[in-house]
Amino acid sequence: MIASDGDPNMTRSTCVASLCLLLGAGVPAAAQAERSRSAEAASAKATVAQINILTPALVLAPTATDYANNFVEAAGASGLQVQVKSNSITGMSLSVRSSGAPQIALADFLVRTTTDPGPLGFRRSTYTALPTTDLLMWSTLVRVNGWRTVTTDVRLQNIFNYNDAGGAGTTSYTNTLTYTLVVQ
Amino acid sequence: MKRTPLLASALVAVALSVPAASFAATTGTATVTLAASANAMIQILDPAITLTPTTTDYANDFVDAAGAAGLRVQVKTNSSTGMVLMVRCADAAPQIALADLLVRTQTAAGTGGTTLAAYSAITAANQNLWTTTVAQHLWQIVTTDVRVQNLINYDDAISAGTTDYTNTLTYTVVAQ
Repeated sequence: MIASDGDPNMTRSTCVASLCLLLGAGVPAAAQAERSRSAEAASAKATVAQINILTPALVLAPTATDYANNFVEAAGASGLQVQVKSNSITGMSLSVRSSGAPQIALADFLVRTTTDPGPLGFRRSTYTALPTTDLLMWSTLVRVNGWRTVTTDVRLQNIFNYNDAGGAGTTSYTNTLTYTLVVQ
Repeated sequence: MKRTPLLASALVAVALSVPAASFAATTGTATVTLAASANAMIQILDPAITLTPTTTDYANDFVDAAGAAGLRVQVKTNSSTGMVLMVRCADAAPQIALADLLVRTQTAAGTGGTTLAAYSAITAANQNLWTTTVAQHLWQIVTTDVRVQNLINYDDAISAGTTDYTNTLTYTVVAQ
């Protein structure tokens, strides 16, 4: 409203900027530099998200009781811990999926979290089989200041299906989990 | 003339800022490892069995509990080299002489395994009853046939009722 009523020079410079942005690669180098500066300014203001994997590796060694139950768990403080933060005023969501070539059947690999969700957010509170596509684990719909730790409880079931040769030692079966944090 | 460039500027500004927010994402990875160890499990399906000899049994001087009437246990293992099911009578004072208490199994052996197919006297030490050399993830039922011989050696008063003689069998399953 102010520009439409005021200085003609302001209107002209706005017009030049608009043309440069619309023409893209076809504009001279000086105009490209102008566009680059505009993009930098935009990114400086963009919402960002950060994730920090506190537990990059977790080993579950079943006991005789676990074998009797046919599952083993790493829950609570023993679970997988990741830290997340974002400056998004509309929050963020944390998802997890299986990546790579899983050695533990995905139907046997269950995850959940007991971490409280952010305000108006979500948490996956019941054990769910880990898919190869992103599975929403935790979210918040408002900004959370500072790092927030989200713990993933892991339950491996049907552990009797995973063989080991007799004698000392164990046989390892490893899956890789990929966490994705998205601002929303 | 002035409004059109302003509108274009506004649209461009939105076009720049929206993708920046939509694609703001980051990822990280973690590994989860199951450290499996060879394990074997057993469940006793028939914790008690009573053999009551008939006149014919006394004439034969032995009584059997075989097949479906035998002692059933179920076993399983995640050992890739299988397991061994053993049985013994560890009673300090067995009421049936060990030489008179015979066991065998008619359950087919596991892959590459063996069975105690002929009646053999129970012993105080473990003896192999059934084996397999591969993993057995599902429960496998193994039935023990029991024979008590020399029946006439086990006394009973002439009055009504019977006299019990009881031994305890201990089963052990070991992953191999």
